[in-house]
Amino acid sequence: MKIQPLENELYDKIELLNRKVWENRLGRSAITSWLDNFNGRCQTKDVEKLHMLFLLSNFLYFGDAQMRELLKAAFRDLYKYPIVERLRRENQDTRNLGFIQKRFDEHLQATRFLGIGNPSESGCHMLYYFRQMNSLPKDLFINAYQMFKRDKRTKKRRLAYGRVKKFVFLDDFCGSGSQVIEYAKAMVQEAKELNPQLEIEYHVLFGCRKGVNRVKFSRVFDRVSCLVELDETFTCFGRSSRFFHAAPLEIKKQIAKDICLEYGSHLWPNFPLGFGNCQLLIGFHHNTPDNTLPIFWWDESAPPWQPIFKRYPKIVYF
Amino acid sequence: MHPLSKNPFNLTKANDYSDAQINDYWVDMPYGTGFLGMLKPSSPMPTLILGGKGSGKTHLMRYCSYEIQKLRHAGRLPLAIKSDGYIGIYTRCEGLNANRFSGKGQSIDAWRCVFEYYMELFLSDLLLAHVKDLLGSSPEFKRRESAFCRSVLKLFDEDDSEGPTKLDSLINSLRSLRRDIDEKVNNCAITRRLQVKVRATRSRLIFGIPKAIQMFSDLHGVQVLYLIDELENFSEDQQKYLFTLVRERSGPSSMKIGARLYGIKTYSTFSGDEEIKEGSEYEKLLLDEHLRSNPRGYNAFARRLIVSKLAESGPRDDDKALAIKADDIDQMLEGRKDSRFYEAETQQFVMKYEGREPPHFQKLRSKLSSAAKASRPPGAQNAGEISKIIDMLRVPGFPLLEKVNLMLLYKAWSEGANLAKSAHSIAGMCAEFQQPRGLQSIYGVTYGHFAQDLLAQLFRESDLPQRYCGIDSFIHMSMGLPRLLLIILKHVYNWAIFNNEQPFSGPAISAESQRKGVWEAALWFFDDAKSKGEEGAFLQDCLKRLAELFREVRFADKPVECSLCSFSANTSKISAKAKENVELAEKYSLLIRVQRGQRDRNSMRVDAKYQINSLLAPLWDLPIYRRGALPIDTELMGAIFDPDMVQTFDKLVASRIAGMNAPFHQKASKEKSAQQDLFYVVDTHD
Amino acid sequence: MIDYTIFYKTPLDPKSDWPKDHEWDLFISAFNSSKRVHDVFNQARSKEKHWLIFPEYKYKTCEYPPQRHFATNADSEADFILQFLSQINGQINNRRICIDLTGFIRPYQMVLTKILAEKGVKQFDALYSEPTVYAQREKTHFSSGSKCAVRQVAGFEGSHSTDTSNDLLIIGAGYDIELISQVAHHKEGAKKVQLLGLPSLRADMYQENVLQADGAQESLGPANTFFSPANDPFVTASVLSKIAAEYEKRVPITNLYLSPLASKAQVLGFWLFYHFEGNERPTSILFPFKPEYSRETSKGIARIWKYTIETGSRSSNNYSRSVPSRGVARKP
Repeated sequence: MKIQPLENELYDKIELLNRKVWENRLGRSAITSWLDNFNGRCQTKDVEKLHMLFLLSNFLYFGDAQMRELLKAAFRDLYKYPIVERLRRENQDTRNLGFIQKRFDEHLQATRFLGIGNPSESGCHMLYYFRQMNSLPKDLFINAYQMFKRDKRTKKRRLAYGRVKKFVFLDDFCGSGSQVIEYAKAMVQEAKELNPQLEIEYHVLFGCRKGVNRVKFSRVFDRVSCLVELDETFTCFGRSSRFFHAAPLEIKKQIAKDICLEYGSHLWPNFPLGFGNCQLLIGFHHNTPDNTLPIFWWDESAPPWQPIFKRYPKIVYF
Repeated sequence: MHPLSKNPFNLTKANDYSDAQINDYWVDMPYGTGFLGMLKPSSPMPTLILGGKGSGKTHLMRYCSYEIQKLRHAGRLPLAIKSDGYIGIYTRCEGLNANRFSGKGQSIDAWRCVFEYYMELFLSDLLLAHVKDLLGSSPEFKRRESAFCRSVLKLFDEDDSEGPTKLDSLINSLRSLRRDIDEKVNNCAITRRLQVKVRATRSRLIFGIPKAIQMFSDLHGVQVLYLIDELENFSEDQQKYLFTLVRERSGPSSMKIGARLYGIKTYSTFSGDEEIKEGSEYEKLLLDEHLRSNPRGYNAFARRLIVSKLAESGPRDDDKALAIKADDIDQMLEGRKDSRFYEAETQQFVMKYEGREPPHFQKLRSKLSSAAKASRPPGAQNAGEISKIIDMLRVPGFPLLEKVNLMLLYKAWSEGANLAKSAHSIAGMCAEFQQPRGLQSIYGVTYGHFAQDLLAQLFRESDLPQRYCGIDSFIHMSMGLPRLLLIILKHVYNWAIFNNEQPFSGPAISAESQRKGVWEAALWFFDDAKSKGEEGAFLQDCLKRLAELFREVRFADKPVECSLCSFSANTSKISAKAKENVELAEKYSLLIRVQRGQRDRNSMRVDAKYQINSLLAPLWDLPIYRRGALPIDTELMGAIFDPDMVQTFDKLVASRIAGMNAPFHQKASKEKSAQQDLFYVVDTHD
Repeated sequence: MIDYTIFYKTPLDPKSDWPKDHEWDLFISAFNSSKRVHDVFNQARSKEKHWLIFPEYKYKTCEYPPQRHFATNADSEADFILQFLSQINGQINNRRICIDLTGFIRPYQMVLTKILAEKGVKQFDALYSEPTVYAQREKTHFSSGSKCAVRQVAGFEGSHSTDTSNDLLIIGAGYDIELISQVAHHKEGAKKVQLLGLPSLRADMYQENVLQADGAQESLGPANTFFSPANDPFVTASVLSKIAAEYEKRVPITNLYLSPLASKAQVLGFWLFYHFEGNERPTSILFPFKPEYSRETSKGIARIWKYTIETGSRSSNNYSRSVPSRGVARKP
């Protein structure tokens, strides 16, 4: 059988991914426009384009249906199951569904769910779908500022919900972990001071192992759970990168890295390979994290760049 | 909704469609007696319908089923059934999960008995349920119901006068008996015991109930037609049972049995292992072969099918509208650009090599230069002479004519002629050929036979993609298997969307999208052979070898056959294993047998002739239309198809091809005769 | 109604010692060349440990492990398991049993769990080790060899209706497209549902799964897609129950066919669903049997799961309505 050039093979894979996984976000013209960004600054144009096409063919994307499924899984596996397990074990391994459901509902009523970051950020955006997919009542969801209120008499801050025993912070993605800690530390500390019995948890859909561990070891939260963990093999140019261990002969990891560094350093000099140097190849229906290689998502006015998996919202400059 | 989710060709199989859809979107053959005329459902003669995957067997059989008769004749059912002359009892063999009637520590005889009895109950259940549905509310039925039930009960080995008198209860009894067998068969794997009481002898119920239903006036004279599909899911013994039923058929019943070409494991029966006799006991309908043998009819049918698919979301078109729209399809796909000497088709090539020597001249120069001094052909002894030759053969703007020139020059080289003189002569013929009324010389004959092949060579040499486009090409590539056509169009549609086109609603679908779609369809078809297991994987290798041989010939300096995608061979002489694999490849539709065979040039013996399925052509840059056929001798057939001889393949091919490529050192005697008959038209495209 | 998601599942760290109460009387594992299977066998604490050597892995006797092992030429998966269990000394229904599913060939796994339940084993543990990565990613081959024979798994044949107008085939779609194609092709007339692993064992495996499964697209036809975690048999069983209920609501299912071709954890889920709900409608489990399987297809151990399977009785009385008295909580 005639051997197809690698470029054709890669386009075949991308066409399939686009149709089956990427929600038809791309077409040939979008890919061509993106590849035109690579104009031979590091290698020849053809070599650059071929390597970038290879990276594109390995891009991990989770569409709307998949994100909704993961939100269901987050509630079921990260929140509900540990409670149910405890209930059963504390009650002679009961299988009485009515009993279990009743007790679980009590736990649920005593829980409040919050997002990480301000309401416009993707972590909070996700809450709506989390609620919808799990058929949860609206009043279980609050903004961070609603955790506290000022006592009218003493003028001191106190917890707004006296009967709430658990706060669960939900997030879509944890890269380095620094933003989560920065966001939640003071808030959680204050809450704990006001009520040391409170359980405060952090549940994230996707997390880099290092970042999740960082959050765990920071001891900000009582429990940290991650649904889909990205270990070091997801670091695109890492030593044990899973993207290159069965790569075609024409593709070299070092060349791909050099290309991404070259163009990335023009786009985001501080983090040419993604925030925290995470070097990820991942995107979601609602957003592309800035830990992903900037060559995929950079969409600022300067320097000009044609993204392929746009990022919303704009990045925070460090 | 994204256009991709509306791909009108997403559903490619009959089983993807509901009964209503099959009825509503039925497309018939526009000429002759149509599909029902082929199947003859009211004829008492049983038919074995064989076809490749996607030939339309299931579609056709389901169309004759009671469920669809009911839709087709809504509001006038019993009369219409009588008018049809049959009531179709459709079932798929896979619904029986017949694999479970084997092994588990029980004997073959025991399983045979149980299976036969199970089939009696299974088919009777289906038939009675349809009878109830058809007649249940009629006054006559109510009057005769208990008599009917009694006559059915009498067919059992033990007379049960206390049995059900209502048809519903009778059906429930049969189901209960069958469930009992299911439970026993299921548990047999664990318990290793099988104790089933067989209450009816083979064929008593299956052929007895159709006789009993004649008592109802609405069914008097109506044949019960058992439509048994997917016979390949039965074991050999179970197929034997079914053919025994065909032989034992009696009364107002008949059978139409559908199976894949490769699905028949035996034709024998339990009557002393005799095979059922074609012609007297059953007829065979080779569905895709039938469609291929009528290319005009198939083309017209295929176009209507496409139009029907495109219109599926809208109102149903009548025949006239379908016919009109079928002719418009050509405009929806970018086709070949008609131009003198393929000037438009080769424009990309010309632009690519503007100011540079094109690859075909580079190759000639290289071959002439690298030939050893002693063996350099006359007239091409040095670089200067070589350049003069090349200059004589140039035809700026018409690379295809240059290729023809080269082919004739290579012929001259192989004959030892003076190349300078030959080039001069060729140039003259070329100039003459370009005149509006150029003489039909050997130049014209060469061009006429080899233009497509030389065009393919041009594309290949310049790394430009081959062109497989246009609706006629797709229809031809489907080889009488409508599903393949739908699969091609499905992929073409997907690629058109990816390429930001508006398939079937905007400008014509680009050649590039068509090429990608065809490639994917070809790859799927080829990969599908692997699903046949080890034998499928070996067949793939056989096809690869065969296709590579054809490709070597097609892209040789001096190809001996034009439009080569078929071969002929004396199959009586090849090894048993090779023959078996050739037949298997035919059964899996990887090879298509050409019915008329091939007359051997020397002995005038008629050899078997096969073509590679056209859908596979893109995988090796082969032509899709058949013209020349390559005679393949016994040894090479073995090297291609016999696992014990494959190691000789490379050497044999090299030897065979050597005579077709400069510097033409070897002259195999076979190729010599082929060269002499270079312009002998073996077979025209038909 | 059954809520499978209340059953216990515990992650175990492959790099640390397991809790002290993770100890059994009988440990059964399927011998193959994956490191994760051997590591778990060595790490598990049990009075008796048995290797099962399935003929499909084509091990020669010189390759057999030194520990206690069972190998035989049986005529079916049921026969193999029955022979194995018959040579276990003593009763099994009162022992603490653990099965490492990781190396099992799926039909054997299902038959073993079925027969244990039928022999009165009320509870057993099942382990499953997740790989770090499959050897060739989406191009990994799991099975090989001659023609595939699609048939019902012994003991899972059900009693089917002659009416096949609304048959449903649910395929737990793994990486092996040939198996998926074979099963889908075998039940061409049935509506198809493919169950994909999400959350997948590793983040990229979902996408790889989709790419692979596309190879079977022509055989599958317009199949609806549902998701269940690749490592959770309980959610898998729950999703199967929901799928059946959803389809049943539209048009009654005439025959239900299940074909678990993905992770062993999902296979366990299919078995659970069949065990508890298989009697509710004509249901059977189909499998594309191949004569040979790859001995090693993965690299590394990412995580080990322990599932506690509580077979109980299949009636709804299984879930008592009475509130239990408060006793001492059992340690997880």
